[in-house]
Amino acid sequence: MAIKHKHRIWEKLSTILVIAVFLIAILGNVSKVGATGTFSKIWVMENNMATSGSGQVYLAFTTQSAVTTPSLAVTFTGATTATTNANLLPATSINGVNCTTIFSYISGITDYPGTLNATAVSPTVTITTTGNFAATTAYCVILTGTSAITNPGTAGINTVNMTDTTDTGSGYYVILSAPANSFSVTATVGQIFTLSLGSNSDPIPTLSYTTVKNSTGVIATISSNAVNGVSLFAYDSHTGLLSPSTSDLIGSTNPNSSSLQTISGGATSPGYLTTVAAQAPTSGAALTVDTSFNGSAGSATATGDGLSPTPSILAYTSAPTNGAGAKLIESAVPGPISADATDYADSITVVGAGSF
Amino acid sequence: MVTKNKHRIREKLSAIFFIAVFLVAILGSAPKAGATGTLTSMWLFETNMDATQGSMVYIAFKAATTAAPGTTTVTFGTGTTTAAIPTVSSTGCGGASGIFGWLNGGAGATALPGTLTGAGSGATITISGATTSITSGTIYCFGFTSAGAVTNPAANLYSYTLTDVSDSGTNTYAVLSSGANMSIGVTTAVTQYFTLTVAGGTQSLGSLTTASIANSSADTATVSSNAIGGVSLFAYDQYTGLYSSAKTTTINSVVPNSGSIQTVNSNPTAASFVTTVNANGYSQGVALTIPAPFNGSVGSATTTGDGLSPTPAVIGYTSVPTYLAVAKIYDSAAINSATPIAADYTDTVYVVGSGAY
Repeated sequence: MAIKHKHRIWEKLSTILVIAVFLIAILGNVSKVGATGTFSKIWVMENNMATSGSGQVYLAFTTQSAVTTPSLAVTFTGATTATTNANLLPATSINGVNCTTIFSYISGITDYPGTLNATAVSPTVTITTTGNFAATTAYCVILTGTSAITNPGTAGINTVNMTDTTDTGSGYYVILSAPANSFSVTATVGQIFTLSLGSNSDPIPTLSYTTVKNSTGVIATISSNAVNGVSLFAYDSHTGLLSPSTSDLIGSTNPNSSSLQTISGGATSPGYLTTVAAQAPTSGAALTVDTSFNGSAGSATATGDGLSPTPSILAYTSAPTNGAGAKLIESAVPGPISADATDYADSITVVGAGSF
Repeated sequence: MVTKNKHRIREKLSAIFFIAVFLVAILGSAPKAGATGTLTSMWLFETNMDATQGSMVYIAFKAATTAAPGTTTVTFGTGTTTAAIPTVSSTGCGGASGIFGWLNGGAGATALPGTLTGAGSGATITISGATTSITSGTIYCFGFTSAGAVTNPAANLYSYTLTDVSDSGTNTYAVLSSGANMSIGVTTAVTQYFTLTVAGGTQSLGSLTTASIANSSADTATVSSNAIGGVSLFAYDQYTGLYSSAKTTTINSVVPNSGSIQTVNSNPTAASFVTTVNANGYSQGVALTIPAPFNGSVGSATTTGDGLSPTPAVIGYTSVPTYLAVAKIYDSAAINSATPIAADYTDTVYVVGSGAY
């Protein structure tokens, strides 16, 4: 009796087993309707991995099957996605960088083919294209919308399911706790100020009454990271060119006038002035030459301003500058009774400041 | 009993709380001792940026807070020393034409008003004497204008702190190495200059008569020179008088090279030819000094001057440079009844000059 009972039980179990195997076989075939291959090597990278963070999605995968104009559905489990093409913005490059460069470590990586369009029923994004998938080919695509995806609020590893009409696959994207994947970079830049002259002498050729003579010029070069800029000043020792042997002075023309002065050859009065020309900086702001010195040096006339022992502003910037130059040219013409002498001299001092 | 006690404690705490709140309110609205605002647009430059050197200093700053007149202090970089009584001046720093003329959109800074005085101690100078309130948003300027107002430390960038009545600010200035030598020596020479022009051309004395002296119009000699020792003009003539080649006779120059002034009257005992020179202004420098022998006058009855000969005689000079100094030169002749008749009396007068360089 016990043996017979066991046998019946065994028969029933066998029947159930056979039915189960049959059902599994049937259902297994049913699940493969429209998907015969597998996406592999699925890479999902977000530019913002923080919990609840929004950003762009970089996707790479390898097909198994060739598919004509595939419609690829990508489901970001747990996330919220944008829904329109305008906000998803599928593309194969971003900021001029192609996704094949970003995923360059994937052998044979290829741009997602065709003209792309994406829409979504969050969290599933469907990418359609005019192109075709080739079999066993690695493709990359970027959802370039700045909020193409919004992460779930909990850190973890979440599934990404992909399917087109032929292949399916699963990958993962990683959500980190908010500050986990960022670090601050801080630095301090020290104050910089340099000022130098190209030469310490700038002779003017021998003067004659009828012609303005000009020096070759000396360049004052200034560099500073002073946030409000720099300024250059100049003053001289004699308010003109003084001849110690004769005590004669070719006086500075209207010094500190704040307006452009002119001296001319053959004029009845002697003249002595300084012209400043800005020299282009290596980088940063160029010097603005003050109006009174922003003249020119010629043989018939020269324009600029006279110097005195009271400093005059020559040039300035309103922002940091690197290697900005100011070329100082001195011009002079004697008057008809300016004593002849070979020892006319003046000393011009250039100083500068920065407003940090 | 316990409840009543708690109630009293609570009342006392409430009173203390209100008093505290009241005091905070009062103190908060009272004038604040020390700086409360931050100065901006701070500029400081030295007239001598070299290390260890004395310098004047010019400063500009924008006030953040309106405040009554008070003291301003400037504390320079570590190692700076200041003059005990530096001169403080706002002259020349304010306005569009001032030292800080590019600030404030080209309108320049406002000179810190008042009769300012400075007192230096260590690296700090305190300025007193301001007479006008500081206005918020205004850029002020002043200078420590005595030569050694500050003495720089070693080359480096230094922080300085400026504090006015209500505001304070810190900024930076540079001290350069002593070898930086931020001076440009400008040298030149002035070449010698000399011009001399004689205008007037040929002078005709007309037909001479015994009735009066014949005087020419003036020739002008104009001299310019930067000769440091001045210029001189000389004259000489060809014939020592008016010569008639037809009659081989001469109306002689009167006592040429005499060194003294000569007087010629009409109808003289001996026919005479005399030259008179007068100074006639200048443009720059000085006028010509006419030597006594030639510094006469011309007239129909009497003319004074001196005679010329082929030996040059000085007719004018200066001791310093001159520009467009003019000498007017007259030639006069007087004859008597014995003077041979002729129509070709002639002479040529030469004017030369020089400068003492």
